[in-house]
Amino acid sequence: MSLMRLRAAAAALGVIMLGGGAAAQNVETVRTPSGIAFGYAHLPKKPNQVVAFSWRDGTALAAQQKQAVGQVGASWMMRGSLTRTAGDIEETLKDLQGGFSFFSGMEAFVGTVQAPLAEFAQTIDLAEDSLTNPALPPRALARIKRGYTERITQSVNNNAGHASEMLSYLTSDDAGFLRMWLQDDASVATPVERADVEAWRKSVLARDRLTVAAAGPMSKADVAAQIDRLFRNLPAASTAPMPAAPSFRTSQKFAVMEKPGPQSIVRMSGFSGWKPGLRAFEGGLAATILGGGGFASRLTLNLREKLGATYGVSAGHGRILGDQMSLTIQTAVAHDKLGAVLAALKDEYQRFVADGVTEPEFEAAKLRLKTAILNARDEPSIATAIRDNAALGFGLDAGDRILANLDALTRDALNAAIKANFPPWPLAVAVVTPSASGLKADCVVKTAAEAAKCR
Amino acid sequence: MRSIKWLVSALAFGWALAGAALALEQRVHSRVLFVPDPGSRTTSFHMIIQAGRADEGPDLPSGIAHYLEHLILVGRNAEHGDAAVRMFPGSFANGTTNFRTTTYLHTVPSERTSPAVALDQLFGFYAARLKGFEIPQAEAERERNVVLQEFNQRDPRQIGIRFNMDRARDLMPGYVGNELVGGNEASIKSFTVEQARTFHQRWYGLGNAWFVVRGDLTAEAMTAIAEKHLIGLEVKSYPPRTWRAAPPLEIGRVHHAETSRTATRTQATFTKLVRVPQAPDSPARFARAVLADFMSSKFSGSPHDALVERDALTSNVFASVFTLLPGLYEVRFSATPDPGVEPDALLKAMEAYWLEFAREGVKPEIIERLKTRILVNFSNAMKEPSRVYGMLTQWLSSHTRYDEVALYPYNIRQVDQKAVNELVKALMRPGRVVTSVLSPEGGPGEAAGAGEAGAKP
Repeated sequence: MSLMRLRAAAAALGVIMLGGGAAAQNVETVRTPSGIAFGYAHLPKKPNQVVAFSWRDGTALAAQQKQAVGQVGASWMMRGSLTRTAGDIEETLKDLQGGFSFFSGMEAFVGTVQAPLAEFAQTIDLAEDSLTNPALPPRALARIKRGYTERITQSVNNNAGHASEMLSYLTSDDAGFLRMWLQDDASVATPVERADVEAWRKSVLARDRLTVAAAGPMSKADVAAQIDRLFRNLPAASTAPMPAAPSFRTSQKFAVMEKPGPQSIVRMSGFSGWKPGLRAFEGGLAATILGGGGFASRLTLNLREKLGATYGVSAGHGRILGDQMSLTIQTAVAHDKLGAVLAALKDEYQRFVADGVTEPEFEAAKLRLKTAILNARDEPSIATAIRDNAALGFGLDAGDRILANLDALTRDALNAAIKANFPPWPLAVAVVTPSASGLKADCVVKTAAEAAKCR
Repeated sequence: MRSIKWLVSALAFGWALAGAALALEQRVHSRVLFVPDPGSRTTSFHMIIQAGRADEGPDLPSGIAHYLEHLILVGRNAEHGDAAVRMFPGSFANGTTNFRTTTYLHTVPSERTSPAVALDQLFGFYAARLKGFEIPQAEAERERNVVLQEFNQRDPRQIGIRFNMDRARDLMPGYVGNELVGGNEASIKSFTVEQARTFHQRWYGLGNAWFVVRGDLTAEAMTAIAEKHLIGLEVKSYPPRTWRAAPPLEIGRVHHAETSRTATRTQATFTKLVRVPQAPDSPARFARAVLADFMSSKFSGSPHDALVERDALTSNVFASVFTLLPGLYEVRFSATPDPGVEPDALLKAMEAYWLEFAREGVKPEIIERLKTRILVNFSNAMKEPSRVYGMLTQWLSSHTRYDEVALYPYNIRQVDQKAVNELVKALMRPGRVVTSVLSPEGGPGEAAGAGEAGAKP
């Protein structure tokens, strides 16, 4: 289980579903015979059915020790059931052209089941078996734990990872959050034993906090029946803590780690004023114009085409945890152009916030986003976004409302939102480069954790 | 059987010439495949030049094919004054280069630019690029720096990549496929536009290109666009593909062990290169696909079953059989030994497994399961325009002939236990074996071997 997946899951819970369009997607609320409510999107022409589900779970941040009990547990549950080995399950799933997955992050345990229509019931059987009767073999636990130690060892030479970690230390004092977010301490997982995972499973996997969504060709009644089969053995009530938001702090400091490497790594971030919800897409749209979305972005034109300093630069905007949303910029550049790049990033960012986006930039980015939204909602995988929006309380029709907001958005409105919500310069900056000389850093660190003292 | 296969081949060949190899696409021009996708919100375009790193030749710096790809995409040409990567607002554009092909791809939203307009512009642009390209000198030099940063970003000097390249060189000395596609730092810094033009003149032409497109327009409209832009393009000949002739196989064994300060885990790899004399249409090619699926599976008797579950030597093993060139196969096992397991013990177990496997072979019921999966997946893919498009671009990029595509399901169906186990036995012939161990400094595996030993940065 990788740190990247942990972050992806956290981000996934904050990604606003970009569904809906010229015609509404019509996500219905349906109840199974046993009373489980789920969001249902009918896609009759697609061959595969998807059911996506989650349970809100704050164990990762509430636990004083063994914070990764959920993460370990979810991975361990995928290693076979009491009646089938992991290998048997894997090969049977390949025969069915189906699959299922479990993952536990900092706010929720999430899962999906997907298969062609005719094979869906059998795939549900395999998923249910692993969900409620996991084998939890001891050798598999040892391997999972070794993975935590190996990832820490492998990160030693990862300069991009160091820069990202420095940003985390610059912007949070929450030790529990940092331990779980960065996983630079194997003790988040190594003390976890079977009894811990069993207790965690009982506390989390219950019907009262379950969120379910389904998308695909299956009829309402059929998918409802399959959902009841999947969750038939769950207890009624959960006892796990609800997710609590970690604390963050705004930093405008510039930290440098001196380390050799083929390129200088640059990471910048700042907390934005947007909150998760139906307008948060504006931040992503703006970030796309600034530094995402291919070869037309401001930063690509400046850093790659004008300076020839980099192969790529990107900017993004998304939810971290709780209500916190963040703008990030990242690139890897030639050492001898680092100074020019930092100056260009500052100039371009400030100009972007002051002047806003041009009409051609706005129209191109809006078109790309709208096309992506409409294409995404045509695929059964949209069930995961329906699930995530429902779990965050945005409603089953969030996708339609977001698309409507996007359609109605004007350039002036976006520029006003950028001025109001983009973090002010300077952002928090982390650079990994052979020498800090001439960079005028606020602090020069030997480890990422030392960036916490950069105030 | 042979006469039936010949008849099926002839029918499939005729079918492929006349129209579809996969049933959804249409061949609207000798070099243009069109996948209609009614209702699609995007128009997709690929131009696949069947020339890449392997075709550069000794007179050009390594990586020049990749540099040319950059120049084509960011140049300033009469058909589009700005870089081709920005041809359509809100679109996606990119290029890729590998050993055998250079590919240019675009995905254009249909809401503002109709498929016919987008494809007319793309065909006009790329038909002209088959003839030549223009880029200001200063921008070409800037792009050379960008290519250098791409090289640095991939960081091929890191120990894992370098070690695997050394292993590949031990396996087949002198083979161009062992080298990096993008070149190396010295060659990149030496690139000139004239060298790129030489490669372009040698390999870019209609006879060496395929166009694959997908979108919401009619075949008639697509045919008209293709004919408008492609008719009259120069017919030219191309140099021989020297890389298709593999260097002589040096039978023998090499062991290579290395420790490194920057290695973070121990990696033990067993590879064997074997030449198997076979006819060009030998069923062994398709038996390999089934064999490779078995080797990556968790079935009873698989490498995972033996080395992970039964012997507990490792937590995860990579195992496969590759076709490097027609008749030249590579068998490869790679894994990190579990704590307390010596890498040499893992290597011995890998080789012992392979020898035992040759005696046992693959059970017929497992072969049938594997074949069914391949065929069901293929059949499902043929119903979806996006998947047909993806399969066509992938096959053409690997130089699979278009007329062979239609025969794929038939050839898979013909694979049986005899064919798979004959291939396994053929892979037991004398070959070139390279065993290698890379260890972190201070960790296991420091024993010297026939290769270099000792700590390296």
